[in-house]
Amino acid sequence: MMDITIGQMYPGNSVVHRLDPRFKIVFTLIFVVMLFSASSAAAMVLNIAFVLFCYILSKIPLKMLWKTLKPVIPIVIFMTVFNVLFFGGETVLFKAWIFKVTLEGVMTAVFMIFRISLIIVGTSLLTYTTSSIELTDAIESLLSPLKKIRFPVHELAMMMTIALRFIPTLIEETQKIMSAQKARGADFESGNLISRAKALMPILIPLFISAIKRAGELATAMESRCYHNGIGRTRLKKLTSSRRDYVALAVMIALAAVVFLFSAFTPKFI
Amino acid sequence: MSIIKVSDLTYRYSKGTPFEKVALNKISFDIEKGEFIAIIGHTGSGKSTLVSHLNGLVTPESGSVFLDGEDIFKKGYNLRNVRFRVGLVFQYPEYQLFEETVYKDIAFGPKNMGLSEDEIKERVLSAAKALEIRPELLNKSPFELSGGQKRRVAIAGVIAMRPEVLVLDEPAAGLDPAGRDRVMRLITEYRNKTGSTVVIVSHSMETAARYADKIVVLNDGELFMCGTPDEVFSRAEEIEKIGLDLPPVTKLIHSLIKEGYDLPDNIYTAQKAAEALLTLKGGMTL
Repeated sequence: MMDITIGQMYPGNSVVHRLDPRFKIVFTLIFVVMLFSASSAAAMVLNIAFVLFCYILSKIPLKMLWKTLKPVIPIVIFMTVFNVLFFGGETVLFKAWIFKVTLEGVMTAVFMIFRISLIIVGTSLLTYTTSSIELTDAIESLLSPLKKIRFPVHELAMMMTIALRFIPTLIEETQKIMSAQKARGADFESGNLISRAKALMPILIPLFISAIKRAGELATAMESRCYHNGIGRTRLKKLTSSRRDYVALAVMIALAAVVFLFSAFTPKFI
Repeated sequence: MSIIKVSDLTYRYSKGTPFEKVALNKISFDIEKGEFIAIIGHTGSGKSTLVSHLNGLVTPESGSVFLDGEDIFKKGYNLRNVRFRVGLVFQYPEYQLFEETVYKDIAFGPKNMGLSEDEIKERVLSAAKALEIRPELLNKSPFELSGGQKRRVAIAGVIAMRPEVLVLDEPAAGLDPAGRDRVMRLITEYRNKTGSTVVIVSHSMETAARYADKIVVLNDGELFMCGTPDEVFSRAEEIEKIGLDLPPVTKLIHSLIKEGYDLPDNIYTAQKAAEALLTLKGGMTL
């Protein structure tokens, strides 16, 4: 429970931290496109180098990379095994029973490992360097054209802010309730699936009750401060973009172009 | 022999992240059998973290806790058993209530101990009686009760396990004065009747002064003082320096001493203060 790093910010004051969050979201989207268009080794190496460079630039210790990746290792292993065994392809490396391991299969698996790892590590950098408030402000700002078609952009952003804000609170609450029930001898670790699911009741019921109560209290608090749907609301921290952001955008576009070119003109693996 | 021995206990929060913080630094003290101990400190001094070590819910970074001379963090030691022997009531324990009825909720602990139905029933009823929970409440849902009632039900849930050591983290927090006095009175009565060891966590020196045989003062994760109320309250200035409030009586006596009255400096209850003042006036007694 303590090891959840997704959505958590890693405080700092690096160039990456100070970029306009709206640009950071756009960069993340460009990065995802870049990653999935990379179909040659050279293009993939460029993506890897880019992610490492960004981590170094943002002064986030590289061991955070490992911490981010740890929870998804089982999925990566699962997908790798499937790709190696069932991909098909021509160049057979060896055969055993119904399994046929091919060069193409192995290469796809390797690419898959890099793609999954990079997408997780790369997109995590956005949340590591951006606070949840900045993030939702940026999303609201990026989606604001949709207001014209009466899409409730502000409400959506507010919901996201609240949801993100309450993740750590709920985790903390869960831990507290778990400790309290453990202190009364509750056992969450042993027994079969059914008894384990039953053992969760003493945690879930108090957790839901307090979450619902908290929601009511928050709504009252917002209402008593005259919150209404964001019409005419001003911000404490206005998002501003500077030359730095535009330079970064230019570099990003250039990099994406290089990745496209590499993918098109260097030898493909798949 | 002391029933619990805390030895060189050190604990750090969020180790290896930028949020790392030393919560406890080499804490050592003993809890004797039958003693009433108060652990005092201001918010964030490490009190709650300390008591979570006493029943093995939190594993220390270094140092250990000995229960009856045995290291509870030793490999292979049955930690679950420790939880039945050292009953811990958390802060705002009413948030842990979950069962359909008050009876079932109090029975949760004893049931986890694997006791027989009859034994469970006997324990639930006696715990409910000790906490002044009326029998007709036992079949109600815990969520229908008032705040003070919920608190008492939650405490009863731990007492029903009949722990040798009862640890309560701020048992009176958030209650009105009447509710606070009631909870404290019930805990004292329970202790007098069963002779069990009681550890209470509080930020109020007054609570400590009124009930405890021994006071442990924590400050920023360090053991600041440990001793009888007499010893602790004779060092009033140091206590005020770390941001703790002295009992009103102690404050009054200290300002009288400053005015030149010849009074002892370790007075912390109204009773003692009255006796000292009468003696000063000319050998009268209560």
